Amino acid sequence: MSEPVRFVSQKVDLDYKVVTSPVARRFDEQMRAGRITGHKCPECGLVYVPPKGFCPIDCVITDESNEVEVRDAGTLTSFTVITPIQYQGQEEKEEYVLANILLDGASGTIGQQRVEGIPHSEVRMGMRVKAVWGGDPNEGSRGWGLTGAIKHWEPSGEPDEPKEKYQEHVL
Amino acid sequence: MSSERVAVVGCGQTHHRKVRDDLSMAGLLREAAERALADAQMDWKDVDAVVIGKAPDPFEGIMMPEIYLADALGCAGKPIMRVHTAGSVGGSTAVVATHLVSSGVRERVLTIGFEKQSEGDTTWGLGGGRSGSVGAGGYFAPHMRAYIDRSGAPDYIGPAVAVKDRRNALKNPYAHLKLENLTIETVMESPYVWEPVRRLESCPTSDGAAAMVLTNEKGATEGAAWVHGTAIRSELGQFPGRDPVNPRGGRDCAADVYSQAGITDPFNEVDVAEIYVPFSWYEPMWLENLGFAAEGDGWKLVEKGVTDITGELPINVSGGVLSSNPIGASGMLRFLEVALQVRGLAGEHQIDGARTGVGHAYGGASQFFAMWVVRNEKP
Repeated sequence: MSEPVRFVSQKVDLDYKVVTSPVARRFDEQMRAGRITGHKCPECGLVYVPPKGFCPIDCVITDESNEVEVRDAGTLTSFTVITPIQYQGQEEKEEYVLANILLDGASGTIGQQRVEGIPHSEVRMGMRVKAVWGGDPNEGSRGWGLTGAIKHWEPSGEPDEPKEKYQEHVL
Repeated sequence: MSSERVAVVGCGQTHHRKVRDDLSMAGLLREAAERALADAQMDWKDVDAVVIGKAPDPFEGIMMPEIYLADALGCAGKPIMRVHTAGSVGGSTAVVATHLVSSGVRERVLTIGFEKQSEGDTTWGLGGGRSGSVGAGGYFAPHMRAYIDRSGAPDYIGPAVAVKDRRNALKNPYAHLKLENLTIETVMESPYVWEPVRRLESCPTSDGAAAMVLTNEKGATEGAAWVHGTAIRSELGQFPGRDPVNPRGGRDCAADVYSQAGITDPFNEVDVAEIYVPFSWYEPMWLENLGFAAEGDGWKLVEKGVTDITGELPINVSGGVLSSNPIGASGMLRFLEVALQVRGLAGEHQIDGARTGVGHAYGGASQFFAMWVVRNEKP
């Protein structure tokens, strides 16, 4: 006896071109040159990484003249261990860690960053991490992600930061 | 502000299931809408306008379904509009429908929230069709970890919420998940999906719809629920200083809706609340965000059983999002369930003498919020 057919999956191929904004393009170029950059708001002084091209708090436009470089190291403020859901096109098969990381010199975190080189059970909030450069430059980061240049993050070996340092930086 | 009083005169929902392949998408909406119209003792022709909402289109891969749904919803020659606020959309849609009546623009409005998750893949949609999508749970998990870290809540609080809501769902004939004999231990033994969140602490994927008929005072029937306040807030998904554990947008939304309804002490003045809890830890988080508990104390209400169906502040007695999650309907179900409560029509999960109910929904990156307060008496 065969099961009745209830669903027929139909895959759709869609080729599209993403037009990268000038701010994202500049950020991407700098990443490929090994520099993580952000924009410092001239009003409030907050440093946005990646740059948005504006400060949403003060509603002012920012550009290259507001560019600052931040360190390729920071503090892990929160994380999750993902068990990848196997949907059509999912290439992830094994559990992996995704973390929010507050880079030294940035005012907010970068989200969903892969952390490797440490057993998952030992990953912790407040842990110091550094970038491992050398990602696939052709990987589609669409100019906003860090994956084009940075493979992942790993523990830096520095002492953990105390709670007060990371608690207000979930995002 | 001079405005029309708004009454909820009809409530209808589908039997939410993993797969409703007995119905098309349009059929799903009609099942809920016809039940709401029957409850309101109305027919399709009595409706002046329709307001519908669902989560983003990539979840089913049908773009702008409101266009093809117009005919099925009796909208030939009538206005129909679609609301978009991600997961909170069911709540925002009900708020927009309320405003169409309170502003005097329409007299009788049908509003419907829906999702047919079985016809698509939400995780795929959230990842823009690329590999590596972590779904909503993967995005929210670090926020829940931060809550646990900040509040010092014991690890069994999330599982306790999961058990409570699934027990409540056993009393709700429309609920999707029917998990008998669930215990905190069985929840804690279920595998992590987005650690620290386990599979049994997560919402299911459901097909379903929720519908309500709203009227002005002239059209109101005996035993209607009355809207005493509506509020919507949103904030950017990410900026330095944003706190996703206790978002400012949610606090402001609650303060606004309580002020409209004259509520100064939500814990003591609200009889029943349906809040958007797709992952267990959001119950204690939102208890704090919505002013039912002081910051850091939300989990203590869970621990003491205060939010149980027999507790002082029953939360999600319908089984909540943890038991049924047709995404676009999930927010509206929160609004609808409290309307049923103050009308005394919630059946086996009725809270005796419920007079004031709060409905709540959130969505996006914990950045969209919608709430309403309903009572059994006119404002």
